[in-house]
Formats: sequence, C-alpha cells, structure tokens
Amino acid sequence: MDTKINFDFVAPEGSIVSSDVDMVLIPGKEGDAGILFNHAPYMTTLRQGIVEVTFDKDNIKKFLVEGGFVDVTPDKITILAESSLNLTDSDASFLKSEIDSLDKKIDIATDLEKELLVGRKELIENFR
Amino acid sequence: MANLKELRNRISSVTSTQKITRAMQMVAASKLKKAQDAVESTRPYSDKLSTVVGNLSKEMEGDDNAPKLLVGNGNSDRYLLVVATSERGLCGGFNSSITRLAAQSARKLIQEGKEVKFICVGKKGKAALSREFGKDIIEFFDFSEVRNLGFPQGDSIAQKVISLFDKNSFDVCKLYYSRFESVLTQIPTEQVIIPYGFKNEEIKDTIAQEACYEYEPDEIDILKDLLPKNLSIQVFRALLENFASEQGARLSAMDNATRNAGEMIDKLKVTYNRSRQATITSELIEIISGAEAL
Repeated sequence: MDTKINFDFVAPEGSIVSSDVDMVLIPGKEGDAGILFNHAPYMTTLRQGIVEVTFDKDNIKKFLVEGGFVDVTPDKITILAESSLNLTDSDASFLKSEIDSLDKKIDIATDLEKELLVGRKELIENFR
Repeated sequence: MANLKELRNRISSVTSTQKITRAMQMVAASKLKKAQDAVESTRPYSDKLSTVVGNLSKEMEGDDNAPKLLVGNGNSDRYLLVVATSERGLCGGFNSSITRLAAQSARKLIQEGKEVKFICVGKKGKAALSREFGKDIIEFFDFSEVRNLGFPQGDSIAQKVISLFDKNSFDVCKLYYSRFESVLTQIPTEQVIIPYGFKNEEIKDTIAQEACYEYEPDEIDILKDLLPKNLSIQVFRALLENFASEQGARLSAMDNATRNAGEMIDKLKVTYNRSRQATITSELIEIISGAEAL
C-alpha cells in the first residue's frame, strides 16, 4: 500500500480523526467494506459496529459507532457519526465501567433501546 | 440634602452591585469564548451533512416518494413553533427579542386561522410565552441542570419533534433562536425545519461526479436516514448559536450595567463630599459667629 487516502471522522461536537490513512474498514448497513485509495465514489449509511482505521502497518485503531454516514470519493473518506468511542485508546477500567453502566441501562430499557445497548455491550466485550 | 450616613450606605450598595455585574461580565466573556469554539467545531459536520442532503434532495425533486420530512405532508394548517431561549435572565433583550418574534408570527398565524402549538426550550421563553399562549405549550425542555450543552440535548428535541410529526400532530415546524453575529449583535431568527425543502447551499461536488456515485442502500433510504440526523444537527447548532448569543448579550448588558454603576458612584460621591463640606462650613459659621458675639 503505497498510496494513502485522506480520512475525516467527524462528530457533531468536532473532528475526531483527520489524517492520511492506509485503509478504513466500515460497518455499512448492507455489509462491511474496506476502503482503500482510489475507491469508486460510494455513499452508505452505517449500522452499529466497529470502524477500523489502519493508519499504517502497526498503527490500527478501532472506534465503536452507533450508526452514521459515509461518503467515499477516490481520494477521500468522510465518516459522520453522532456518537463514537475510541476503543483502542480507552483503558481497561474505563471499558469495564462502561459495560457496568450499560448493564444498568439494559435493565430499565425498552425493547427497542435494549437491542442497541446489548449490541454495544457485546462489541465492547468482544474488543476486550 | 440627604444625610451623610444614608449617602454612605448608598455608595457602598452601588459598589457591591458593580462588583457583581463586573464578575458576571467576566464569566460571560470566558463562556462566550468556549461557546464560539463549540459553534465553530460543529461546522464540518453540519456543512457536510447539508451538502449531502442538498445533493440527494435535488435528485428527489418532483418525486412522489420523497420523504415527508423533506417535502412536508402537503398541508400547512397546523404549526409547531420551537422557541429556544436561555435558562437565566440578566442578558439584556436577548430572551424578549426571541419571544417577541415568535409571538408576533404566532399571532399572525392565528389570525390566518391556523393552529399553533409551542415547544419551549429554556425557562425564560416559557415564562414569557405562557402569559399569552399558556395552553398551547405542549412540551418544555429544561436544560438548567446541563453544564455543557451537547449533541444529546439537540437530539432529544429533534426526536420529540419527529415523533410528533410521525403522529401527524402538525404540518410545519419552525425554529426560533438567536443567531450569533458578533458580541454586539445577535439576530433573532426564524427557520423552517420541517419541511426541510429543496432550498440548498451551493453544491461543492460537480454534477458529473455525482452521477457515478454508488449508493447503498439507494438514495431514498439514505435520505430517509439522513433527514432526522440533519434535523438534530440543525437544532443542536441553533442551541449552540443561542448559547453563544446569550453570553454575548449578557456580556454587553453587564458591561453597560458596570459602567452605569460607575457613573452613579461618581455622582453619589460628589453629593456626599458637597454635603460633608456644607456641614463643616455651617459648623464653622456657627463657631465664628459665636466668637464674634462675645
């Protein structure tokens, strides 16, 4: 992979990542996709899942997203996501407390919310 | 002429008022800086989203299946006005200018025979509007406990609006807030958020590039997904602009108050010195005339 693609990861409160990266794996609504440089123009919405960003060979970061939107052009990827959690840079105790608080929320949640919360919990647990 | 003790008391009370207004002014100044940064940092997200929604909705134009959030439900008889104001007062004409604008257009709509409902964000707006439209306020959001205004707050308002729209409780939704122009000028603004419409900002991507985009799922589904998001971000952005405006308004109101207090202290001091001098003079006259009489 010689050529990098420009990657922007934006939340409503501000930019999360903005740099040149090797590859981005996204959890698209109709299936995962790995985006490299020179990808055909492509737009999709995201489901709950993990966005995996390969900055270079040994620098890979994972972000948990609750849905969002991706716009791909040959030299640029833009992800818009309302909420995201940087799994790679969070320490174990934070993830633990996140899971505990999710457990509490799951108990009182309605069915619709429960599905999302359980999904979130599983993703965090898998990461650990 | 008031007696000396009374004057001394007044001077000290005005001085402490001035201290308070000056402190509030400084707090507002530092909050304003933060609020401006917050508005600034939502820009990449909201700009991108509105470009994409703009592009997609252009393609929808004239399509009967276009999402309702975009084109509306075909009527315009029932209005929902979302009025965003502040939680605290002492910020000059900030709240009253927003509520005045909202109340004016509400009256106009009622005159035309339309039905008007309100959603109030912030205590001050609710207090002002409930005098005239008390029974029409269907929802009230109180963010006085929230320290940092974030996307979840904007989202919760937008979700409420969308769920009301889905239940077919209104046809058109308007948002009232104050646009932050500068520290000295905040412009009360009315914005139609449902239907979002086809008005759109300049489109950056070329049409040729648009044509070969691959959509997954197809355009209409993406648009259906993005419109609620877009609504949330519009509301969120309005809240942030409003917060920045509030701080700006408070900054200038408190600056005025501090200056007025200063002037008042000066005047009171002059009066105080004069009356003290007058007392001394009259005492002297008494002594001298007493001495002469001997």
